[in-house]
Parts: sequence; structure tokens; C-alpha cells
Amino acid sequence: MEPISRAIELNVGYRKNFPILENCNLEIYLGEMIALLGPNGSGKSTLIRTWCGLQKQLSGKIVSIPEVSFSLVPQVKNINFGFPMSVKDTLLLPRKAKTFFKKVKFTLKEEELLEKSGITNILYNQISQCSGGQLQKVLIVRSLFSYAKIIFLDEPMDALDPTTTQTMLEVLKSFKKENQMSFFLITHNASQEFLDNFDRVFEIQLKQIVQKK
Amino acid sequence: MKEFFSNLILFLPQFFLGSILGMFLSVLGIILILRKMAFFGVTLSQVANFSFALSLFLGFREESFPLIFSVLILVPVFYFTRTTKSKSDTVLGIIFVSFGSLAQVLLSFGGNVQNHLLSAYFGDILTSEIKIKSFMLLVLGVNIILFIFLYQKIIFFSFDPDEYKVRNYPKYVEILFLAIVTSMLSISVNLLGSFYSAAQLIIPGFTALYLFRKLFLVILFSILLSFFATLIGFYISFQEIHYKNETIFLPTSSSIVVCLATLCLIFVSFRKWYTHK
Repeated sequence: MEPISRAIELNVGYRKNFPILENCNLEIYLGEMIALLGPNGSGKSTLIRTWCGLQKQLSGKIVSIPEVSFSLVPQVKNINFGFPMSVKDTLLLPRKAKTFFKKVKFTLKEEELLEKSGITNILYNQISQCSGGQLQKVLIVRSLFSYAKIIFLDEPMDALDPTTTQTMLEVLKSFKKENQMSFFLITHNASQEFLDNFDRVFEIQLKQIVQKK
Repeated sequence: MKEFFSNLILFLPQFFLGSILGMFLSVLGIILILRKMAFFGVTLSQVANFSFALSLFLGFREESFPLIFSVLILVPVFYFTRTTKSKSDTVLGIIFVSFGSLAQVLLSFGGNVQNHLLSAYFGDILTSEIKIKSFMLLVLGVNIILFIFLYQKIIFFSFDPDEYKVRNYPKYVEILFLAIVTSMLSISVNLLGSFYSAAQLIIPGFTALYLFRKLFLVILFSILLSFFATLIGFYISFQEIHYKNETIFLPTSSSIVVCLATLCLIFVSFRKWYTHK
């Protein structure tokens, strides 16, 4: 099977001669779940930001098939939650931005997913009133509703309790199965129980990406 | 009151333009505040001020020149604030004082500096010969339509710029939004002064965001506050004030700004009192 996106000899970082991650060779196949572990400052977020096109690579390249689309679940701290918007507005905003004041709504399947994720009961709450965990779930679901082929998730489960983490992993898995998409998730959770949910697991060690599973 | 309305009819074009500009600036200001770019907006008003002075200095009397200069200067200013390693508010502070002073230097070449300066900073909506020229109306109209058309994209971009870019939404939206802000500020500074423009950009939006949690209500309240402050400001400036055996009239633009600030203080205090009750 051909990968839908691949990093070739990728060097990422902020200063030209000082890459924080070197010679990264990694492929993403359709329908797989990948986890990336690594200590703070090892370049995990920089790698996915580069892969998404938010910053330039120092060298190397990223090759994707033309039909590929990306979405990014950022860390909660990177989002401006002072915005006067409800959870529903937040989830529908990307869709509204594509139309011109046309009414947009969730499909039945999406409503089911909202229910499963425990978002239905906070749908009309203001995002400024949501807890960190609730916001994290909202951001994950917003990305799922993009139906992007590859969704990058930057420490998405960090603010979630173990039960909610497992629920959200189940949501990701069922959504992936139904919609043929791939997930690339950054995490600090190295427990076997958590990592068992992924098809492949990588770790950053000494500026290199090493496959663990 | 009857006298006020007959005066208002006399100055209807000024009132019409002042309130429309104010209301539109207040809506643009909400987005700048939400993006933590309020100081950027205030700095842009100084850039517009400088463009106004530069046009006078070069002898370009057409209204289009300050507007074109402002938009042209916006691009390097924006690029510079985004790419500098220093904190952007520091850089904006430098740009603010530099362009403000440059405007003063250029205006001094024209003679009658004090009048020009007063006009540039505080506006002279009633005393100057204001003609609502078709060019200004065209720019105002185009900007309002463009803003409505791009509204959802601007909100998405402002809320989560990274995801906006990752999903491949049009990249021009940010620069177009800033061009709208700059051109509106340029027209507003030209007619009503930089203080009026900066005040309309920040005060109604700040007050509305303090009071409401729904974007629709924030925008609506901001528009209403801007309109009523303009109306009250006009009313105050039409009143004869007897002070030290002289009859004086308060300046209109400054009266509007003081009204805005006072209303802001009243609403914010009321909200604080209400939430503590």
C-alpha cells in the first residue's frame, strides 16, 4: 500500500543549522493510528506543525498525494477561548466559513458522535465556560468534522481523565473506520494500555525518530 | 431639543458619515480586541495620520492618496511586527511614536501647524468643509460589503489561525481584513481625527465584550453604543457653554470620544456592581 503522506529526510527546527529533529523519514498510511512519544522540547509539535505547512522545514521534503487534506487539534493553551462563541458555533464555524450565511447543521451521524463524546449537553454553553477537558473534546470533534484524511493531534488527551480518554479513543477509532482517515497523535502517555490503541508507535530519541511498535 | 434636531439636519452629512464610520470601526475593533491586536489598531490610526500629513506635504489633495499611502504602509508595518524577534507591542510602540511624530514634522511644513495638528488628532467634523465624496462612499460601501462577505472566514481565522491555514482556507483574508481596517481608519482620520478613530475602534468593542457573551449581541451593542455616543457627542457640541464671560462650543469629535469613555465607564461599573451583588 502506498502512503498518503511521507516525510523524507526531514529536518525541522527554528534555526537553520540547529535542527531539533534530524533526518526524519516517516510515512502515514490511510486508516492508521500513529502515536509519537518524546520528552518536552524534543520537536514533536514542531514536526506536526511542519507537516501541516504551518512552518517551513529546514531541509528535506514532505510528499502527499493530491487528495490528502489535513486538520490539526492544537493544545488547548494555543486557542483563544475568550471568543464569545458557543460550543456549537465553534464546531460549525469552519463549515460556516465555507458558505455565505447559509444555515449549516450537523448530520445525524455527527449528532450521534456528539452524544458519544459527551458534548451534546454542553452544546449551547459558551466556550469560555468550558473546562480544559471539555474544550479538548470540542477541538477533537471539530477536527473530526473536517473529514480530513490526516488529523494531527497535539497532546489531545492530556486534559482528559482516563475514562474520557478511553471514550475519545473509541470515538476516534470508530470515526476512522467509517471515514477512512488517519490519526497522528502526540502524547506523553507511555502506558501500554494507552499505546495498544495505536497501529504504530514512534519515539523521539536524540533528535531521531525511532519506531517502538 | 428642537434646536438640536434643526442643527443636526444642517450637519446631516457629517452626522451620517461620522456615525457610519464609527459603527463600522466599532465592529472591526471587536475583532482586533479578540485577536489581542487593539494596540495594532491604534498604531494604524497613527499610520493613517502620517499618510494624511504626507498627502498634504506632497500637495495631493485627493482623498484617495492618504488611503492609498495607508494601505501601502500597512504591508511593511504588518510584516515587520510579525517577523521581529522583539515583542510586537514594543515594535508597535516604536511605530506609533515614530509615525505620530513624522506626521507632525510633515504638517509643520505646511504652515498653520497647530490647526493642522488639531485637525489630524482631534478632527474638525463640523468646522471643516466636509463633502461626502463619491470616492469615500465607494470605499466605505465596498469595505462594508467585503467585510460582510468575509465575516465568517475572518471570525474563523481570528479564532484559530493555525487550523484556518491547515485546512487551506484562503490566505488573503487576513491581509484583506487589515486593509479594510486601514482604509477605514484612513478615511476616518482624514475626516474625524485619529483620536476619534482609535476610540471608536476600541471603546465600544471593549464595553460590549465586557457585557455580553454572544458575538451577535457584542456586535449589536457595540454598534448601538457607537451610534448613541456619536449622537450625544453631536448634541453636546451644539450646546452653547458660557464660561468666563465667553460663549464656547465643545469640539465634536472629542465630545464623542468623552461620551464613549463615559458610557464605557458606566456600563463596566454597572456590570461589576451587578456581578458582585
